[in-house]
Amino acid sequence: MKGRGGGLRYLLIYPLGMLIIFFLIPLGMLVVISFYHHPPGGFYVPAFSLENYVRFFSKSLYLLRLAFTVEISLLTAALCLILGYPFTFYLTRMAKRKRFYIILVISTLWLSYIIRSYAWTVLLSRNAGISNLFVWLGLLKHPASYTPGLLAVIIGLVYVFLPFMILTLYGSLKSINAEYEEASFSLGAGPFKTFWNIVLPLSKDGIVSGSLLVFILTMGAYVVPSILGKPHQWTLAIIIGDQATYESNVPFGAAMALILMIIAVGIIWLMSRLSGTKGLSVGTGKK
Amino acid sequence: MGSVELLNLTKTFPPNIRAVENVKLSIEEGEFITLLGPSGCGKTTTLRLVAGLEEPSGGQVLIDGNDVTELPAYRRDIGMVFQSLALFPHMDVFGNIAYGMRIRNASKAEIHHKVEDLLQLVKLPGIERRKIVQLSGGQRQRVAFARALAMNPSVFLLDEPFAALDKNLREEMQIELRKLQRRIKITTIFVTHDQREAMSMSDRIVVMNQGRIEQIGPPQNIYLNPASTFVAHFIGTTNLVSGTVKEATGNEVTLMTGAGVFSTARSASAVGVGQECVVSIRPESVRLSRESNGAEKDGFAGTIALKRHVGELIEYYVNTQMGQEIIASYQTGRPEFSEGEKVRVTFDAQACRILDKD
Repeated sequence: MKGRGGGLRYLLIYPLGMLIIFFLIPLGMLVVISFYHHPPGGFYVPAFSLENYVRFFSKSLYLLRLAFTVEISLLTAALCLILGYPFTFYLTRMAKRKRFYIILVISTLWLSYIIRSYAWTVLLSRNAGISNLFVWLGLLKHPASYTPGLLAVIIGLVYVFLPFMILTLYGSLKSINAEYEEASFSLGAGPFKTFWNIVLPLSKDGIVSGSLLVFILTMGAYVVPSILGKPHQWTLAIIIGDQATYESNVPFGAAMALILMIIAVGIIWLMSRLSGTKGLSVGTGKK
Repeated sequence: MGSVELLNLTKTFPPNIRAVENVKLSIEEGEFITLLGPSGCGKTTTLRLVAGLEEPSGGQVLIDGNDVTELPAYRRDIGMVFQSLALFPHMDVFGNIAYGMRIRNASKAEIHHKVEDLLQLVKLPGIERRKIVQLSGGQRQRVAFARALAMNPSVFLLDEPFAALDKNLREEMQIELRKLQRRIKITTIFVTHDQREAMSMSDRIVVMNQGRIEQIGPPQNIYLNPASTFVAHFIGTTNLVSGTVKEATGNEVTLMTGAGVFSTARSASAVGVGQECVVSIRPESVRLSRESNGAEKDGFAGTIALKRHVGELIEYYVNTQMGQEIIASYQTGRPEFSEGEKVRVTFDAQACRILDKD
């Protein structure tokens, strides 16, 4: 058949090819390899074995890392929301030079995670860190070192992922018509009640999207916890990397990566269901 | 309950934009007032100043004799309908109408009763549980009215609520609103740029231009006696003919204009011989007659350049000798003229208004 859409149909090969080459094939390989066997001292041999999954769920070491990863991801998302929401609300409602502030927020993304993480190791160290400032202010008696440590990991993760939260919330909060707030005022609700009853519910999509985005990013965080954390503050991503590169156990790494992905997708699905949001809407915050 | 007084109200936006300048207005209880003017004339800003959504740079707002200038919107006794209606999309109809009462912690029974009453009032009983997106344009308007009236405000403010409606629905809502307003006798301030809308609804119209009030008066009065060329031009269609006063006797003024020499009744403006002025003549006060009807002293000759049917009227665009175009309108069924025909143009002297030249 020589349909008129013939030429157009070939255009679809591009996005389809992209999807297959960059997403479906690697994911399929990951699934297949996760069932392979890893001989001691070797690389991997094709097999269909559940040994990698059994190993993961039978050792508390891995389960603890998974639990820690989920916990720190939830915590980072919550902290980013608590810090980012008031800032973004101020930005969309009151600030005069919105574009300037947004560029300021985005500019932190111009540097790589690695450089920014090392910057925090200096800032949180005993010798040159901010604890010296606290001593000078009289808040501390002696300068302290916070890195490596849990606090450093949390600070680093929040710092790195906060811009994503702000940019997501910005779209959502900015798209709320100011007349909704004015209507609420005209009906006798003061600023606090208006915020609580109108602005907060109307920005729900942005809150959910931003939180999920930060959650997903933290679930896969590798650089920040490895630079700023002690081994027992490492995320599952670091363990996966270790298995794949240092232990040459790619099948086990693949299995862990899949488990992490399934848990992440499960939590996203659960959160979306609970909040009644239809899906991720990054950027605009519109339904 | 419900008188509104604006005393020398002024609003300047940075850097130095005078949106509202020295507005003085006194609105009686139960009156339907329309702020009318082109976009940017300050009508919406004036309304927002009454609502408390904008802080005045000078002057005072009194509601029921109380100075509310310093009070924020949520402490003023107002109900407002916004241009976008601003019905809360995350609440159903009930939630929207009950919002203000819930904020003031009214009892559940009281709220249910009141919402039912209000929906009855706007002729939409039983739609409490509908979502806003499920409502038609007209239903949304009515729900917005009901929400604004839920707290029994002393003043009802509307900011071009019908701007987005098509013509038929718009007319329907105009009648609906006017009936509603009559029934509950609420002081109403309505903002629009549509002069027909203003003419058909208001007790009094406030014509605004560049932040100032040009004229205040009942619609008919404003139409027949415009105070300035701006008002004459903005309200309805008019012929503005500029000229010089040639002769001014007791109650008649003779003018020399681009359209010819003619006499008119003396209006309120003081006129002296030699003064430059503008005459406003409504198209329905222009008379056309066939040239062949013998020699006439008054009026002047012209040719019909265009004939246009506008609803139940026919409009004639007449080119006069001096180049000035005159519009005349006639009811259909009256003797008709055809394009290209030579006619004699006369004005109803009583209906001409002499205005100061801008």
